[in-house]
Amino acid sequence: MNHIGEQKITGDRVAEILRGANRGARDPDIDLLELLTELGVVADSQEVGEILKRLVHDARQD
Amino acid sequence: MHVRIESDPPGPLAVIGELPDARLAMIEGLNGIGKTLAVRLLQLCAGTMPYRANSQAWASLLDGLGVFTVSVTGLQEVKELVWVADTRDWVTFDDSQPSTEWFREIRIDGQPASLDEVRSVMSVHRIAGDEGMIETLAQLADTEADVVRDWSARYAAVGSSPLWSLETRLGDAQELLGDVSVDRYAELVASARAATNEFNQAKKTAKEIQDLRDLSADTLNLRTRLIAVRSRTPGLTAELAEVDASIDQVRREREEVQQQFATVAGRVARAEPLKRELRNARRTLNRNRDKLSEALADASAMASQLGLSVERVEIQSAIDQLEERASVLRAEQSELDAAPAMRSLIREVTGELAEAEAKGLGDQIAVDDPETEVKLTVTQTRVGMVTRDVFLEGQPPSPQARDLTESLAEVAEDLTRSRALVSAVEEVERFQRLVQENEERVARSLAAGAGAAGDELKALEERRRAIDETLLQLAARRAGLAQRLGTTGEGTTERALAQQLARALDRAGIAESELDNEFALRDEAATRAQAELSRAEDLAAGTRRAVARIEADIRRASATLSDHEELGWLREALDTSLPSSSAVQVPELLAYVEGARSVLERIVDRLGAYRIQLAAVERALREVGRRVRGQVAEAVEYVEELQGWIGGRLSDWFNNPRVRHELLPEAKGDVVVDLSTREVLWSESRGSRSRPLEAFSSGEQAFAYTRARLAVLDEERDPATNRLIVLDEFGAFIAHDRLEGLLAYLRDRASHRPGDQVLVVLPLSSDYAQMAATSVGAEAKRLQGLVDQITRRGYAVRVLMP
Repeated sequence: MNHIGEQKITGDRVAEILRGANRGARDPDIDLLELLTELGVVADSQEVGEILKRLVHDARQD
Repeated sequence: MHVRIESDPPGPLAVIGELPDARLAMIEGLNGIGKTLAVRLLQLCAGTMPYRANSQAWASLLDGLGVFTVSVTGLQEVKELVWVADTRDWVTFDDSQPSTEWFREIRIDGQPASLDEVRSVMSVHRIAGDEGMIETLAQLADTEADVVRDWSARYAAVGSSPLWSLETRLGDAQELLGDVSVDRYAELVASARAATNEFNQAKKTAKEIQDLRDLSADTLNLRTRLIAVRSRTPGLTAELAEVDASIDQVRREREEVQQQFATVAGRVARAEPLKRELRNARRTLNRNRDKLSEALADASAMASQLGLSVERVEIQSAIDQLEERASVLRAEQSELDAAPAMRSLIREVTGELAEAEAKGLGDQIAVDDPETEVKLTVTQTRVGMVTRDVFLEGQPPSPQARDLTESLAEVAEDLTRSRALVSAVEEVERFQRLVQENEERVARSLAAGAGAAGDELKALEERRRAIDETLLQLAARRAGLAQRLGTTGEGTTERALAQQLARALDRAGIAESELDNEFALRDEAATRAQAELSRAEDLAAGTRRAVARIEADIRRASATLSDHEELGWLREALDTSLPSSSAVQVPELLAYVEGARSVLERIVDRLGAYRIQLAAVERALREVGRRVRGQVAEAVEYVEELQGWIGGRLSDWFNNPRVRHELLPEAKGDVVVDLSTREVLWSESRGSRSRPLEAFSSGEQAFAYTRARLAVLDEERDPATNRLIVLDEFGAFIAHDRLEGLLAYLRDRASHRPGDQVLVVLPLSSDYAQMAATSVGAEAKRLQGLVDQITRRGYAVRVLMP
């Protein structure tokens, strides 16, 4: 497993903690944690654009 | 598994160089030789973090160990694992768990490998005897807090993180779209409308006050004229009567002379043609002299009105002065009231713009202000100028400007009169020439045929001519006096002025005695109203400019949103577009931009809230740890939820069948851990039971707790092929008789766990040299072997199960 895989494991663990703290309605925001994990440590400009598009989509759904 | 550790610590840190290859072994050693450090280093190599991130022990390892090599042989499925690292490199990592990057080299059977691959091959578990249930649970919460903190530092840190990358792009987008809001635009438009209404009201008020002021000024002027007329009328009237009397007297003399001339001329019996010529000549002379008299009277009256004499040089000098005065007044007028000049300029330019529109240039940009970034097309510019023209047309001039205008009108009128006077003087001069010619004709007639009566006729004619000259002078003088008294006579003028003044006072609602005071008050009020009007106009113009600027901002933001390459992601995500027509109105553009800005703000809020949530979750986990330790509790966000969550995990652990068997053998149904009361709750046949967490950290329960922790390891899903389980620091916490029981338990367990290697680490508690000296045979030899090991390397290994 490479470094990104190891980060994914850490991300999953943080997600589990956030689920433990869950109070509903993105409190805390587990969806965003998953997006950031997907974005990776070194944020590529194109990837940032794609994530932003998904955030816009979420914002319009709210 | 046979573990070897090679290192050359630069500081006082020590680490033992070997762990025995035995299914169950025990190490007894001196304090400070690095037994626990060796186990923890092995945990790091196997991919788990045995240290608290900010602990002193961790900092000591980073600085004190340096380069090390760990190799493990005697493994199942692989032959050798090798790690090479320098602990000083680890300062730069902020991970909560070791990763492949921490090591300069990881090899499995000589091949480069990742730490995750190591994890599947080997795991190391250290169960500390000095760590009771309370501390274990508290550290669980602390470790989770560390995980959140480290993840937050990597993914959500301000300045450099994926979250920061998103925020930076969002910030750039927000900056590109500006900060114009619907509310701000509506506020400015409403302000502009209110300011325009206020200006219109101020204009109306200023006009009303100005009219009142003008009315009192006109009334004051009437009174001034009346006073002037009254002051000069007595002298002029007497002088006019005197002139009229003189005229009557001179006319009577002329009649007499005419009679005498006719008598003498009748006696002249000479040729009828001569008499006719003389009669005609005199008739022509009389006609032109009458005209000369009229022209001179007109000129005198005009000159009197202007305060001049009927002299060409004087009149021309007056004209020159009046023209200079008019020039000065016009210049002053432009300074005080630019409206007439501006209106003239506007009318000139709008004509040109209208022609440009007719040529199809209406949509071309005519005005581009770089400061406000306002751009106006030819049509917009023309419409704006026409609007301004209409506005200026309705603008009342200031009192000073009005006075100037009146002065200018008076000068212009005087100029007109002066120029008319020049014409009148020219007329006088023409009739003077005609009269002169006629006089010469009469003289020639007399000389030609008067005979003996000729001298008498000449004398009469000379006298008549002198009388006529006197009459001319008297007529001119009378015209001047009459002009000064008024065209209809002095009595009528004074009366008329008095009547006009009475009517004016009545209209103005002022008593004549109060006229001066009232005029001063109204003049002052008009000045104030004019100042208020200027202020209102400035305000209205300022708010209109503000609206123009904000509309320019809105158009620019809209164009940016539609075209800017940095906002492609936003356009795609919004999936909306604005009609490209330039006719789109500002509110529609604003709604377009505001929609995008609203979305951006919601995302920014979401990202900001997320960073706060992570920090709050970390704080809450640390607070849970403090509560488990029985420390003073503070109200922290998320703490109730996380306390319940961790409590749930602990409950699951207690409900593990092996743990229940070791710790709560009589329990029936679910076991529940309530961290709020720091109790374990369960049911037995005798009823509900509870026990404080502290009770699991002492005596028999400590031993049972250790067995329970081993039991949980036995339940591990997908365990590594090779597991090293180290029971450390047990000597001080488990009584010696309990230790034998524990070793018996481990022997029994080892027969069921072929992949596990168990090492019990104890402090040196016996004097083996003394024991060897008092023993015999094999036992003495065994004890002496231990003494030799301790002497050589500081610790002794006892293999309990090879």
